[in-house]
Amino acid sequence: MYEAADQGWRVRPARMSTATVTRTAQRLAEHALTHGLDTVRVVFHGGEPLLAGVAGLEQAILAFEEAAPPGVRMELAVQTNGTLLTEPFLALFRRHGVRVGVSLDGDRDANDRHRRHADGRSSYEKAVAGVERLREPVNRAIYGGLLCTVDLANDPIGTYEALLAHRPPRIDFLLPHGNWVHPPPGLAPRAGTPYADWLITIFDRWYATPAVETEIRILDSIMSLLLGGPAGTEMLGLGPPSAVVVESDGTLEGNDALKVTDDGAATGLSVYTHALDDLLVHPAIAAARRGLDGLGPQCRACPVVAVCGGGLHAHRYAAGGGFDHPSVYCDDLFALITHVRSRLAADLLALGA
Amino acid sequence: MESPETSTPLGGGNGLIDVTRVPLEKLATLDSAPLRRLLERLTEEAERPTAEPLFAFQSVV
Repeated sequence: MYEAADQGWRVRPARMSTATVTRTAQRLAEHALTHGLDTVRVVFHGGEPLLAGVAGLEQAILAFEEAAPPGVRMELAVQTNGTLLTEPFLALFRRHGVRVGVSLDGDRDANDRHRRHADGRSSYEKAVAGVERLREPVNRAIYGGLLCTVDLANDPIGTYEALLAHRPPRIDFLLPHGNWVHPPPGLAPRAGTPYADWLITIFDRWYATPAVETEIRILDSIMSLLLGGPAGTEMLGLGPPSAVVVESDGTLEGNDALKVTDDGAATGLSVYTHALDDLLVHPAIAAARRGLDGLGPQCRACPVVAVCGGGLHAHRYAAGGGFDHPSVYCDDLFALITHVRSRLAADLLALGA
Repeated sequence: MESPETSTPLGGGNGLIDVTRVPLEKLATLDSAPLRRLLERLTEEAERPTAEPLFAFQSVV
């Protein structure tokens, strides 16, 4: 994300101030009350959120807990690279029920491709040590899972099995952000479906197991949507995005994947001056929430649009601006979804469906 | 066609695979653990009194 078109991070504080955390918590509480929500979810993200230190994170956790109106549950989570995940942090997370996700791209070679320290040293051993502490039985309730960004240079089965060795309750495979102007690595027009092929290899390995090894969010979501159930991720389905990003200076944004577009994710709104409802009516955010009506004609006519939902909003961006194009991953999503559909259909038909 | 008592309690929705006639007792025989678990979860959600119907009525299989 630091190399994306939007370089706004360069002028923002490295760390969110206490005042901004408190104001954000108030805005969230206000939103929950306005809309009668019984649960809201907060993810401390980065950068690397553990750099705030145990005391800094505890202050943030308390700010959200204390702001929660009666009857509103704040589900807290943290997404970390794992390298600082020591017992003092884990004790804090256990006390407050904060779920922990660790970003890990597979085995040592896979992880070191992109996740190195600033001086080039490998971060793998420290990250794995953090995951091993998180795997201890006392932490079972707060182990959220592993997040892996797909890299075509890594072997899919080797990557899956390296992640599986850490016994994650869930694996989140993310497609690298990109769009028609800034294509993802290894993706060229009419040059096959490398991301689908990578994920299909994992799907075939994961789907055929007689005992559940782990959840895989993107694959579970595709299967659920094919059967008419809900999506478990914003990148699939026709439901409106439900996440808001608050930058370290209090700036409000929609999905931070928009940073890969030339227009960036900037909205001009801030927790200091605007309610979260103001973000919902911002043209860029409202456009992303229009579901089928917000898609271009090719998507609206597609037989799998209910499952892919046109893909992630940011991945539809094309030259000249605008998002009424298919996702830059269109061919890959179509290939992956139709493969999954074929497997499910065959198995369900065999049962007499 | 299976009777309502022995089929998944499904109706409504816009899924691409029709599972409204999958006999409940056969779910356990699925070889795929991920599919078995998903169907069990969706069936459980559909059976909750307040749940919206989750499953498909239109098949393109």
